[in-house]
Amino acid sequence: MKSPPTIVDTIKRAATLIYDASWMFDAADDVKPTSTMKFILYIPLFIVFQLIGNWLKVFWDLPIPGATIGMSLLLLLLFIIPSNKNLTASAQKLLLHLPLFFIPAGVGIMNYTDVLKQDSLALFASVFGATILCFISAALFTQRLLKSEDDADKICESKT
Amino acid sequence: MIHNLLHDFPILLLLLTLVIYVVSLYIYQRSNKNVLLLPVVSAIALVISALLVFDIEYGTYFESVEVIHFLLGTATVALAVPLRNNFHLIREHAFPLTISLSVMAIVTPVLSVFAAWILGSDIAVLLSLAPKSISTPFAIGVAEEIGAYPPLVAAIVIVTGAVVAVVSSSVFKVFSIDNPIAQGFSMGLVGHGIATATAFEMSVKTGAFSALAMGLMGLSTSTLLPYFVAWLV
Repeated sequence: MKSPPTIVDTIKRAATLIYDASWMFDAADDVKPTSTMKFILYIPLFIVFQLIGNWLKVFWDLPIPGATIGMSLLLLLLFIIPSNKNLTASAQKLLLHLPLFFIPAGVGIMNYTDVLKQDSLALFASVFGATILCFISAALFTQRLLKSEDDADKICESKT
Repeated sequence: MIHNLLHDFPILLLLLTLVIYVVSLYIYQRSNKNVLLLPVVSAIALVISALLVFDIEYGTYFESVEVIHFLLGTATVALAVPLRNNFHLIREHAFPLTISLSVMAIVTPVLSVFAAWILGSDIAVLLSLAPKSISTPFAIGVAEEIGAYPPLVAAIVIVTGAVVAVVSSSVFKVFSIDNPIAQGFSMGLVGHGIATATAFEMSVKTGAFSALAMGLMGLSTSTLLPYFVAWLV
């Protein structure tokens, strides 16, 4: 007869799961992200970095958004630790639903209808005109820079 | 009746938001991914109509769905992962891409603000236009820091991305931009996430460079713009 799992068993299983999906576990690179549980476990990692970022922002009185600080710290960490499929899958899952996270801030536009009416021409000029102008110049500029790099490489090659 | 219910149980507003989000995802899928029906746009429109119908103030709504707003910061942190995964791309063309990024990180906000400034907008609207080419989570964070209107910024950023996504293929044709690296990088620099989605439809290489540019632009602008504004104002 099978006995029901005790609390100790449950904690043990939870600990195994956390360890299994933790970023310290190198072999996780070879593990297929099949279990939903595994990539949910990385979301607390992102939240911890978000909280560290918010805390550092208050602590040093920085004008930078807390989430940007958290992201930079996570980026630094990711250059130290090996890449991990579960971590990538976790970030992808979260970023897939980015539109959902915009809703609370975006709905606030209902209180700004007078600004939209008053500055409609200026907003239109900036959002359409300036955007297209910036986009064209960015594309031309980047292409020119890449071409001059290629040319420089060719000159170097022909000399050697 | 429904009005009282939503007031007494604010958690229902959270539920309503989630249901509306799922519905707008469904509409977007069914419309063959029409840009005008982007899930963000239709979901926000539907939530606003629901709030107007049930006569609920934005403040009350925001309090009940603040947990979703918190996750926006979490998702911003998660953007470090794709940036790390795409970072090797910059090594091959480190010099041109770094120059392009630093120049455009200055030119884009200056030009956007300048266009509205000659047409006589007030300072809060100008500040709301400055972060318009960075990914929405960064832009909302920056807006809160520099004293712009975060909801206005969100709307401006989404429309900017959609403009780039729509005009990109014709611009590449007219100005004969045929290098996929230049295409992707410029789309990410100016059109952030929404243009990146379009760039991935062009080719994987274009999309990867667009994602890289979007991450770098978001990181650099959200770090430097608050200092620049504090120094200027």
